[in-house]
Amino acid sequence: MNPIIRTVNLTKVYASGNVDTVALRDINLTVQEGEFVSIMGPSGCGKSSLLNLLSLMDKPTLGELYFMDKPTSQLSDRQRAELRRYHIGFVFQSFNLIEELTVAENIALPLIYQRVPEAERMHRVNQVMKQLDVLHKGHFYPMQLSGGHQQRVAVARAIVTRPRILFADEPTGNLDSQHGQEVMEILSDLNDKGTTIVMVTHSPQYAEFSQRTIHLFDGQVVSGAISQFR
Amino acid sequence: MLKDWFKLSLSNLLKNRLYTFLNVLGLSIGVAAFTVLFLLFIHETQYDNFHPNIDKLYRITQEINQSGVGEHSASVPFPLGPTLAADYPEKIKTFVRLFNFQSPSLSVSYDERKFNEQRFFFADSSFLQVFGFALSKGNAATALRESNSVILTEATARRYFGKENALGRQLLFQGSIPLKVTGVVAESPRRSHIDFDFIASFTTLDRMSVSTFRDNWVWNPCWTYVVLQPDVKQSDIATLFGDLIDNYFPESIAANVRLYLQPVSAIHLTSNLDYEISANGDIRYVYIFGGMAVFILLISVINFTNISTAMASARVRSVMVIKAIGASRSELFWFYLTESAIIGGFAVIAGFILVEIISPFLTDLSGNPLQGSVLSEQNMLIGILGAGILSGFLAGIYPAYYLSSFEIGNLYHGRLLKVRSGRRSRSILVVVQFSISLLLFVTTIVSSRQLEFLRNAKLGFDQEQIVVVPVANSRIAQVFPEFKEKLLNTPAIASVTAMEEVLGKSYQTHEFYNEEKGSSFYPSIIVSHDFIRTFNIEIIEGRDFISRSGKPQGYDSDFGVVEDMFDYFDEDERNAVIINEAMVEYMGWGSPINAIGKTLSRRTGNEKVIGVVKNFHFSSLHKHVAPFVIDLAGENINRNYIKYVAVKIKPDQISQGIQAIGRAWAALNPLQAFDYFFLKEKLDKLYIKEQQLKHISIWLTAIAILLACMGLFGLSSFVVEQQRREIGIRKAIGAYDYQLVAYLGMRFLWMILLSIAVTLPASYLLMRQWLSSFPYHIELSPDIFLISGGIILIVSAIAIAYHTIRAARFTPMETIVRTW
Repeated sequence: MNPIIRTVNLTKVYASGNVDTVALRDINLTVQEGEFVSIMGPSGCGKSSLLNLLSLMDKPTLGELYFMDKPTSQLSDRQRAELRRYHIGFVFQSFNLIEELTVAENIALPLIYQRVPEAERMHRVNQVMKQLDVLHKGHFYPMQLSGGHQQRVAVARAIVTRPRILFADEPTGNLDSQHGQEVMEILSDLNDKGTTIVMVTHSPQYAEFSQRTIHLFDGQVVSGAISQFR
Repeated sequence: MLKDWFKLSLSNLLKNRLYTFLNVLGLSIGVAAFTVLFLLFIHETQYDNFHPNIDKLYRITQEINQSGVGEHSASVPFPLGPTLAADYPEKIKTFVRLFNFQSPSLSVSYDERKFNEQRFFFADSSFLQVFGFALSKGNAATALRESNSVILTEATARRYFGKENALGRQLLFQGSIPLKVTGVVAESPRRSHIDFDFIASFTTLDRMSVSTFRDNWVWNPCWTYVVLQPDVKQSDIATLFGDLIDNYFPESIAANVRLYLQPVSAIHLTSNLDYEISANGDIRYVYIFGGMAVFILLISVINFTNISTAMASARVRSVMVIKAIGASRSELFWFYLTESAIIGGFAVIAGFILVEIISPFLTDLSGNPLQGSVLSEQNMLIGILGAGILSGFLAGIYPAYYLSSFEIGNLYHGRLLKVRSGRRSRSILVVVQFSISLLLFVTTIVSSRQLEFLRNAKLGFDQEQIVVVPVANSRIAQVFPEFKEKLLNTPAIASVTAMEEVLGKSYQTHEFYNEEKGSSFYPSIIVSHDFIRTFNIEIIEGRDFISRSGKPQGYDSDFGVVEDMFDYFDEDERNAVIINEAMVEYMGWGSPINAIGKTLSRRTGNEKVIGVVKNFHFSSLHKHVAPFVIDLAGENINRNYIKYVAVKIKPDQISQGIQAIGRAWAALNPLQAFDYFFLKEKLDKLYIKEQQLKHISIWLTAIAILLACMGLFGLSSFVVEQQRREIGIRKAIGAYDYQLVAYLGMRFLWMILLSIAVTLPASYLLMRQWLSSFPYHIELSPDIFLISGGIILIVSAIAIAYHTIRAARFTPMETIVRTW
């Protein structure tokens, strides 16, 4: 089976004024389709930077990322947006819901960009809201929800397009343990149904939900880079 | 603490150099434009306010009207002023008359220097007492007392005498009458509707032939001013006029004459009578410019507010920190307000500098240099400086409120930039800005098109290739046949005629009699032979005037001559007039053919209608075409009526033609300087106010759009900053760049579209109202509004594009975490 993600010497350098900070150095890893991978490491080791590169949210300074076996470094912004639109879901640590839109509208947004007809859109939004138990919150605005519910909505928005791979950046970071546990169970459930998941977490407890953990230190992978997943 | 705060301010201003620059530049351009318009406003509204007893000073005007035909003249007969003062000394304190032979120019010479002076008047000795013109040399009490005295302005004195003392020197008027300089009028920025270079004593006229009109109550060439006694009101005099008319005016016209008093202070802005001393201003334009001034200032204040708010978003964190260490909200509010006022003060100073730089290029509504400077008017300087600082305050209130309103808690909740409450008010401000810009834009297009229409309208007579030579009171008027013959012997000259006014610019009214209407004054012009031919006026019935001596040599066709009309009269000079279609209609003669042979005679003549011409615009397009009579001057009489010679030059031979006229002039009238002008250029000047409106509105529109776009640029930066996270989220879930640009663009474009929707109907109504003040005007076509709206939309889209495209081009993570 081909990996859904493969990186070759992926490097990210942030330039700030005259100072260059190397966030990631020569990352080589693979993620197989259907896998649930955690990325762990101390603060500032480059976990989120790596997730952003893998999810095509950011561009590497050097190296190559193969997404579904295709190199991505030469892709145009539009082609990258297309991959995100049809194949990738992303759950942010701070939810990043649009405050002016209701819960249902937030979840429907990716489908609008996919030009899904309204009737089908409504059906799929309702389905995913039901799946994540936020159906009764559809007309609420994000500010009116608890953190746990906001993260459920964020997950709902990320999976409503049925992406092949879901990235989650510390999805439990802003949640209490009960809500954190709930979100992890949702992700685990999604993985069971075939969605590939790559998650950044601080918590060894939540990393347990994954089949493999990539450890990062100082911008480099120290273990777990190669998938044993079949 | 204050020092630290200002340090913080300064560092913020320097950090946001672009916005600081835009902010100061925007407000200073606004202040400069406002100041220029304000100067114009002051200039136009302060005419004649420096005369003593201005509240008692009036001009007498005369209306001769019969069924809507006639004139309302700014001047009255010679004896009116003295008679009024003599008969009613308890009402009239004093009077003064001005007279210039109704001549376009008068000849003055000194040694070898000869000039044709257009601002030469004779005035009663009370001139310097009635009006507030001060003498820098000479005695105001006696300067105009003696016959053959003259006072002149300093600039004129310099022109004639250089640096030498002008007093006591002798000028020669019309080549023969000596005038001794008895006073020099001090230079002053004060303006009067009486725009003069020379004032000669009225008694000088006693020795001229014109003195025969001293007791004439028909010819009305004297601008006559009266000062009322202290307790007398304007309405008291109105009742006297009835008696005066009955007692003195000839019975034949008395019934149709009305006299009025006109406050001198109101002349410049509200008077547009026949025979004004010089072209006046127009109160409508003063209102228009006043309104524009306020609009421009409003746009720049809105601009300042929007850009300041945009800048404020960049300093939220420092505000929070200051708040966290103990600053109260009101302290912050006043601090930021003061900061705005200081920026406002800087902008005003920059604006003043800008005005000083451009001031040499400024002109008033009549195209004259705009006198005075902001710096020379202390009160004005203080006023505008105050207004600028106040603008800074007003513009700073919202940003100050905005900045001081952040709660410290928000700093920690990722909601720094979410102050939703102001969004609607900012949107309204943008809508107001663009509405004003659009209104100015439409005004510019409409006024430009109307001006072009006025300039290029078919007047019904030829304006091109015609050179006009003023000849009033000159020897040329007396030897016109010789002058004409010399010109016609030149190959470059196509035809020559003479007339008493500049066709298309002005006309006279003369008394004509006929059976149907009795004796009446009609708009008319006295001309010499070949008038119809020279101006190519279309005869629709009858024939042109024919000279008794036959066709002059040099003519190659029988233009306008219909053989069977020869028999009507043996001498056209005494027996013939030509009228226009409007006259046929006014007389109720039915059709032009019926008018031929009808009586329309002068008091002592036997004139009949020999021809009817198609209606043509014998005066500016500000007036409807009225009944009009073209009367032929006798060969030996009526020479006084000949003031201009019109020469039609063959195409491509203009310079040869003008040289030929100059040679003929020099041969026949060597003592007087030769002057000429092109008819087309003269007629274009009839629309100087419209031209000025066009120029000013073009500039103001450009400034308004620039300012509004600068504001929009600032605001788009602010909104993009506010929407940054949302943009990133939308990108993360797969939005294409163009979708984000469109999404962000619409956040602004709806405001522009709303401005367009609101303003276009309003501007249509306003422009229709303005155009309706012209008897002849363009139609408001849809393209005017499509072009204006379209350009505003495009320009605003460009202003928005920078920030929106920039925001859309970053990766989602760059957008969300803001690394740009």
